[in-house]
Amino acid sequence: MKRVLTFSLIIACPVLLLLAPAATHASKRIEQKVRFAPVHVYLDSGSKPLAAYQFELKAASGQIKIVGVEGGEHPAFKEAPYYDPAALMNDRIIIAAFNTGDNLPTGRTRVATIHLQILGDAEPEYQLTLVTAGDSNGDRVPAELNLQTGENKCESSSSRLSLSYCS
Amino acid sequence: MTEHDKQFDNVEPHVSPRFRKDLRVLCEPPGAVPQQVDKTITDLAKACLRERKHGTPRRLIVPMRWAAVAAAAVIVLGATLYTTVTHDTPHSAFRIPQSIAPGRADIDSNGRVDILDALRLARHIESRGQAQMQWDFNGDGLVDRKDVDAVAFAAVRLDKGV
Repeated sequence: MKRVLTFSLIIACPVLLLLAPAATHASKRIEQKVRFAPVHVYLDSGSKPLAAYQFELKAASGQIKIVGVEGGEHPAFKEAPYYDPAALMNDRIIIAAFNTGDNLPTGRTRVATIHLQILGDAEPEYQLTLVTAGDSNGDRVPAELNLQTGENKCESSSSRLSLSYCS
Repeated sequence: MTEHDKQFDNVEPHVSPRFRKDLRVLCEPPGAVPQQVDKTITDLAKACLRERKHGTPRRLIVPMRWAAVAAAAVIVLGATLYTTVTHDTPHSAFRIPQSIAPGRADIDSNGRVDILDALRLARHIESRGQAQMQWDFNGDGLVDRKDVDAVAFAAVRLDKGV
C-alpha cells in the first residue's frame, strides 16, 4: 500500500508541475476578454498610379496579436502582400506589395487588411507608418496612409490613428 | 421448558460406550499426521511469511518498472503538451528566402532596402534587361522572380527596422 502511494506521488508530482503553468495560462485566457477585429489599411496616392507600397503597423497601446493578412481591393493588390511570418502572433508587422502591370489604382484604395486578436476591453491604438509608396518606375510618390477598424469598411470615426510618413 | 423438550436434554446417558467409540473412529482423519511432517510444514509456512514481510517479492518489481516507464511517459507527454500549448508558434504559408546582406538588396542604391528595390528588380527582369549576377540572391545561377521575392522579404523583415 505504501509503495502504491509512493508511485502515485512520483507520477503525480511531475504531472502537476507540468500542468500547473498551463492551467494558469488557461485561466488567464478565460479571464481576459478576447475578440477579433480586422484593420483595413487605405492608401491614397492622389492622381498618380500606385505600383508599390510598404508600411509598418504596430500597437501604440493595448494588447494585440496579428493573426492574418490579406490583400487589398484593387486587382493589382488583391494577392496577399509580403510580410514577415514572424509578425504573426506579434504586435508589429511590416507589409509591402508591388505590381508591375499597367492596371494600377489611383486615389484612395484599400491595400491590405490585417486581422487582429485583441486582448482585453480596451480599444487598442495603432501606429501606422508609411515606409514608401512608388509608381511603376520605382520612383517615390507622395501618398497618405490611414486605417479603419471593425467589420465596416467605410469611414469610421472611432478609429484612433497616429500617422507618420518616412522620408 | 415443556416436558416434551426435556426428553432431549439427557441424550448422552443413553449412548452406549461402544457406539461412542465407533463414532470417534468415523470422525477421526484417516491416518494421523506424523509430528515431524507437521513441524516441517509449519516451518516452511513461517519462512515464507518472513520472506514476504522483509524481502522484496518479485511480484512488486514488475509494477515498479512499469511505474518508472509510466512516469517517464507522463513527463514526456506533459512536456510536449506544455510546449505546444503554451508556446504555440505561428505557421506561415511563406517560405522565407535566406537572408540577404542589406547592401546587396539595395537595387536602387538609396541606402535602404524596401519594396521599391523589389519593384525595380522585377521590372528589370520583365524587360529582359541585362541581369547582374550580384542580384542572384538565392545563388541558383539565375536572376528571376525568386530573387525578387528575396528582396521583398528582406524589405519586410521585422528585425531590420523600418
